[in-house]
Amino acid sequence: MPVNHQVIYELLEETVGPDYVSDDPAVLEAYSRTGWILGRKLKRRPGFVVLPSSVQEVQAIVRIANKNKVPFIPVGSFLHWSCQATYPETIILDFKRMDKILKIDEKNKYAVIEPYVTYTQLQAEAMKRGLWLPVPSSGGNTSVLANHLFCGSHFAMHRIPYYARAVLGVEWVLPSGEILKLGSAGYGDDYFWGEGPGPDLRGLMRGYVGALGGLGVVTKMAVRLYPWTGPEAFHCRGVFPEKVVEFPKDLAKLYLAIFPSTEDAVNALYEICRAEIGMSLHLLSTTMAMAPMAKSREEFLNLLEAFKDIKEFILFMSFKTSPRVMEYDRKVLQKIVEENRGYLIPDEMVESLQEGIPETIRSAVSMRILNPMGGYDVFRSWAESLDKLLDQLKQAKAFLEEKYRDFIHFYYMIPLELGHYGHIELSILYDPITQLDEAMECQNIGIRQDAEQKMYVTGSAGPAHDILGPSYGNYQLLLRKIKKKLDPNNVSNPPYPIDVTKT
Amino acid sequence: MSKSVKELEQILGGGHVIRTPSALSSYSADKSCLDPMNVPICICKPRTVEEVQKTVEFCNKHKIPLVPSSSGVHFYGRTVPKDGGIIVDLSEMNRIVKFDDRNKNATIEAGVTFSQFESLKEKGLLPLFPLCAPERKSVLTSYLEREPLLVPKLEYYEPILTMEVVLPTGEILRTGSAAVKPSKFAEYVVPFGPGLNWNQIFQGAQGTLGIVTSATVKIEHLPKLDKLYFLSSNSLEELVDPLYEIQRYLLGYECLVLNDLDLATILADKKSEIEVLRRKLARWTLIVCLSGGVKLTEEKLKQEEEDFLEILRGFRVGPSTKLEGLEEKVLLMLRQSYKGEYWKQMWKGDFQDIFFVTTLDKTPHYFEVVEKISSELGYPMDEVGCYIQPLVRGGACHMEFTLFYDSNNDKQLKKIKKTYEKLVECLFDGGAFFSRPYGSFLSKMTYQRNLAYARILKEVKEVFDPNNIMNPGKLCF
Repeated sequence: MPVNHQVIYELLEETVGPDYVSDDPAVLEAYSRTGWILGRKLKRRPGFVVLPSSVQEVQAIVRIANKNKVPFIPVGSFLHWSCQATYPETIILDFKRMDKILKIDEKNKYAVIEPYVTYTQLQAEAMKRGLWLPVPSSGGNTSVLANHLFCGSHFAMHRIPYYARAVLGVEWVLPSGEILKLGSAGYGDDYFWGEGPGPDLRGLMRGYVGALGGLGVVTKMAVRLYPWTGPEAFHCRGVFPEKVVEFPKDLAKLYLAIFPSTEDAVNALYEICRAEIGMSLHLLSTTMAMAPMAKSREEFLNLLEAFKDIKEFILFMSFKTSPRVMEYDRKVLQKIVEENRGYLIPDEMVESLQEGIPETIRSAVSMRILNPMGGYDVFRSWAESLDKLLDQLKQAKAFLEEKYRDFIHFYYMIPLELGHYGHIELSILYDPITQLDEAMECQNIGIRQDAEQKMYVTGSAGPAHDILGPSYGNYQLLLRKIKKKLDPNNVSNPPYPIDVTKT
Repeated sequence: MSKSVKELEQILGGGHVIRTPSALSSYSADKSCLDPMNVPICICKPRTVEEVQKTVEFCNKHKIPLVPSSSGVHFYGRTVPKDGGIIVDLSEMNRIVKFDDRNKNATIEAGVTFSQFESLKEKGLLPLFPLCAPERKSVLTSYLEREPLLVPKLEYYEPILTMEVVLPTGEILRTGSAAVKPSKFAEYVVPFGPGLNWNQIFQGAQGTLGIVTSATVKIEHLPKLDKLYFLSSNSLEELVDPLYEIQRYLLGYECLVLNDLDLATILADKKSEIEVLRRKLARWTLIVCLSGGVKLTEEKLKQEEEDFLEILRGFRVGPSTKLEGLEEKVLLMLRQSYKGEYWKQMWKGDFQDIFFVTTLDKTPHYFEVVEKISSELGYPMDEVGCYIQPLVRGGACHMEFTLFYDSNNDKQLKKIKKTYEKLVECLFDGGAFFSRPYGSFLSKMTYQRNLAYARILKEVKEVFDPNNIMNPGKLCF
């Protein structure tokens, strides 16, 4: 049946009102590409942009999509390329009107939010109540709900689990338009618990990354918050990248340690995890540590030159989770660093980094990574034990150094859940004007190498499932059956989570 | 049917397909009183994953129901073959395949019991324990069924890292990074993906979606130094705020609240001691184990203790290191399985649990509900045990009521069924969330009140188990 653009427009207009639907080419152009630089090549205009204000409107839009067999895409902060239309006449659901924090339960440490609530917004309200949640590396303006569904990594994953663990009750509009409520939310307005009854259907929402809108639209979510012993608000002066933030010195302390070899550093990571100290723990390449500090390419290159003899650091951040814990953390860290032939950089030399802590907490310094080159992307990203991540890193670095010498690369390794496993990203910095094609080629090679060598990739999505699946026990076949079952008309952001047009 | 049994004998070997009347009878019912018994055709005891696959393939081909079972004891009707069929008893798959001190995990087969698993303590490692699990209970079943763990750390409510699952078609699905098996770049420890979070889908499924044959699970280092503190009160309400504070500051390892009956029953060596012990205890006891960890242990314990005492200053109930000389027994209670006859059976022979997830601030209210309904129905409240387990640093809690009774006494049996049903109904109406609905009464109520959830579960079930052979009749299937 041919799609009648005008009919769909009128139905959407009827649903949300004339002010909240658009097919103006100028508006659609703004929704044709996401913030992800590699996504620029995939640019395609959607058919409609619609701004629902309630779950009922979302249901109606999803039903319109089903009836007319056109795709819809729910978008949060519009960062990832999965938010870009891949089919004509796609309906983009932008949640700018659903931006409310519906509840913060101080005692039980959770918040119920709508899709457009950002980390900065929620964190500010949470801190007033003695709670917080770390900002993800994508920045404080990221949608909390979208990020909890999609990625959910943040700087404190050593102590506070990856956000896949922090999703509680959920209201979810299925690809059919029906509402599904998960956990305690299924039995009233209490969203404090996410699993069950029986099998935990949060498992359908996300793996390491989520279904990326391919299994419907989450319209309400409760997320876990964590105890905060810091101030109710941060007072700031100046403008990024010169911004200065006031910060109580006894709330958190940052340490840098250097080691004679990466093996020694990884041994120290294991020991820190074993001792269960600290809030944030990273093994960072010097390039990674310097990139957020630099305000320009020149400054970045100068910093690299100044630190050329140091390959990598352990960055450890202690947090005042209880009155005396920071003193104990310091003593144990010192002992571990010494036992592993390392050296703790004197406090006075890390003072400038210490000043960056509040920015890490509030807005994520990783956003500064674009400063030096303008382009950045993850070349390889894996999760496994720290020892295995080290093996993977060595191999992938050698490949980059041999084949892509023009890219500056950097890496970080984070132990997760106090070292039960870890996560690593090896990224490239590039000039998006002159090196975009090469960066895309490099990334495509990476995913195929992961499949061939059976390395466990964290960010598999869409087409990657069919590349990795045969090396990963053919899970993609089961995933495809689930997509077909829940989304028989294939309207919920195809080809996510997997392309069902393939057999 | 005898033809089927013969074929299974060919697959597994004669000694591994059991049909003796006593064996069939022992699998036809369990210790729960809620659902009718049913006799299985036979019991299969595979020893390898390949044998499990062949058994499942056989059942799928002939559309014969099968019920996976791993533990030596069953209390909630999960393994009673509602539609008959074959019991796949995994108790002979009981190897601790490996343990990894450096990465804090162990790979275990489905039949590994808590009694076996706690042997890791001799190697300086600490398995994650639920409260006084029966020694013959399968560790994997306990984790898969999301039984609450005594350490309410943030990430501990999901102790499973990766799993090997035999699907109802006989194919194998490996979850998380075990999907890449075999790989020189993996130790199979990442719980998420590939694609979806399969671990979560299989949890709480009571074997209706597949047979989990082995898993890699989290373990910890055994603390070198511990110190127990007790907060005792006759009012549950008085313990709630201290409990929130302890959890808020991330202090301590094990932490839980027990009423006098549960605590006395656990600590008593014999039935006659229960009442004596109970008289010595306050109505409620909050137990916290402060730990010295593994580095600078004395300093760690000192830091925890000073912080702990400081944050509890000003509360009406003060902490004490003494509990009527029972301190050592309490530490054992926290770090091992329960030996011999299960503690809940010691007093009257049988018990019926009612458990749900709620928040700590609501626990006094639910206790009042149970008190009121029990007294209306003539069930004495002083015969109700209660256990409260904070989860995820106090963000929620598991609340468990235990009704003790004697199943040989018909009058008591009838009363217990009536009391159970009424209590479940009232608690449900009052907002208690039954995330693990066992037995037909509770599961029917749970899924009827969330029809969309039940419908999606059925769709998922159709994807995994198109012939509905896996433990039919459970959940909403």
